[in-house]
Amino acid sequence: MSVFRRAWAIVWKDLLIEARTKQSFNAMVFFAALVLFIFSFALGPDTELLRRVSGGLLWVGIAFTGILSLSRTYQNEETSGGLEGLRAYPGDVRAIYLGKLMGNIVLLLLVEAVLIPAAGILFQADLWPHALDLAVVSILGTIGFSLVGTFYAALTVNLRAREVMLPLLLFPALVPVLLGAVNATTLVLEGDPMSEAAVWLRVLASFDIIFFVICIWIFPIALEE
Amino acid sequence: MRKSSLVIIVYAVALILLWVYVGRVEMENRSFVVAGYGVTWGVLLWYALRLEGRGRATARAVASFEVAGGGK
Amino acid sequence: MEPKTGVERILGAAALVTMLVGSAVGLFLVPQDAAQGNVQRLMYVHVPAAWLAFMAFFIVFVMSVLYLIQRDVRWDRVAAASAEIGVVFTALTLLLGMMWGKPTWGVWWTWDPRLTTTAILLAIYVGYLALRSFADDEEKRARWASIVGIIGFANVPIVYMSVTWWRTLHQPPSSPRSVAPEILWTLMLNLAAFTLVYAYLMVRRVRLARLEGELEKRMAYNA
Repeated sequence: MSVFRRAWAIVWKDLLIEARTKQSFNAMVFFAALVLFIFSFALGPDTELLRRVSGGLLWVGIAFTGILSLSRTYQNEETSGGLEGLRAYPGDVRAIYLGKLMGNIVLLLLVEAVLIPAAGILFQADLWPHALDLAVVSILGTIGFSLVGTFYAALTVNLRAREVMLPLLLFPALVPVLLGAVNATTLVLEGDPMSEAAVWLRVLASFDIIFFVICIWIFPIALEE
Repeated sequence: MRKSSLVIIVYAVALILLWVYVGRVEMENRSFVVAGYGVTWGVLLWYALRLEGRGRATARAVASFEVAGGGK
Repeated sequence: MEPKTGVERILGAAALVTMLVGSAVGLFLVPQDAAQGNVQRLMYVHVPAAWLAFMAFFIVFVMSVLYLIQRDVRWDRVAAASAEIGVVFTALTLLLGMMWGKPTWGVWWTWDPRLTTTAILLAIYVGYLALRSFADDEEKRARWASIVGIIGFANVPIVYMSVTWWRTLHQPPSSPRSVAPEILWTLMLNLAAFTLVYAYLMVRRVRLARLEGELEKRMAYNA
């Protein structure tokens, strides 16, 4: 149980820092809204089109925004003395991964809580009746995104050109998450007459479980000195 | 003549002969077929030749360290 | 990297001969396909290229696991070699797929599950090679590359299933036609040829990797 307690300590610390400084949250929300705006300009004034692709646009916005915050996952430890500080944490290194993972998930979900209604307004899609389903898709997708993202962020933290390497490594790996989230969201918004969304939710859930196991298992190797 | 130049010449000649042949038998979509086989051989030959070039360059670099009295 | 060893010479000669025979049969000897015509001949290079690409990345996966278990850099060298050759075969597969697709379907690209997964595979292993190029320390490079090699490969079946669902949720699966024996034999022949090419390139590339390791060591001593 102490792994979880240590992980929780890390989450708590990071979220406290975030709550006090709001450095990431504000920037992420603003950036995400900007991305949605730009998509609207790019696709033109056809509101029917926008409504149809709103699921895809939403998740592209979430992905780009998420990448922003991912690259700074370990920044608190970096600036105060390098990853050596992280490795000096007593006990299982996996607690670090769990802690950072939970922090990323919470932060991204908070951003989505603002972003999804904003998307509903911008793309004139009526979201409220589907709120619960959208929440489920949102959670499963965010977990998948954060699982691989937190892991690769640790891998690239010491790399030259890591701003490029993180997206380069991350996006091909996230294809199942993107496909699952976009398709599930679009189906939910369309009313899903044939209950296809369940297939995609299963894809998301399987991805989450498989990669949770893999990433937690291999994380100590990623952080070896 | 250097080996790579010979290979390139043989490759080009073979490609031309192939093009003439598919023209003679009036193969439909012949440009795609010739392009496909041409690209296949071209890419594989190019990579094999590149490997040789890189091998020579690296061997030279390793040897230069010995001459300079460094290493080991 | 000269002179070539006996094994390399034999492998190289065998690869060259079988490739020549395979292409000759595929282009001139085997009769054209009843449905697709002569463009179908591209299958004899496209399918083996795809097979070998996948095989190459499977080897990367196995070597990555072996490296993480035994920490012997020789496994990592084989992984790096296989990844590089795999990228070449994958790019070739995509190019040939497009050349086959344009006359058959009328478009250069479709979001067909296999083509899409192959493109993602290319992205994964280009990322693998890029990661290797940014790590100077031999041990770190091998460790990180092994991790990416394992995760990348583990993702491939999931990606393939997702893309297949994405494209075929409303379409019934196409029924496989029975394949004429001459077509099957020609395919097998070219598959053997491509496998020999892979083996030859691997032997050469691993040798190069060993040389590069030598060079790194000497440059480190002299730094």
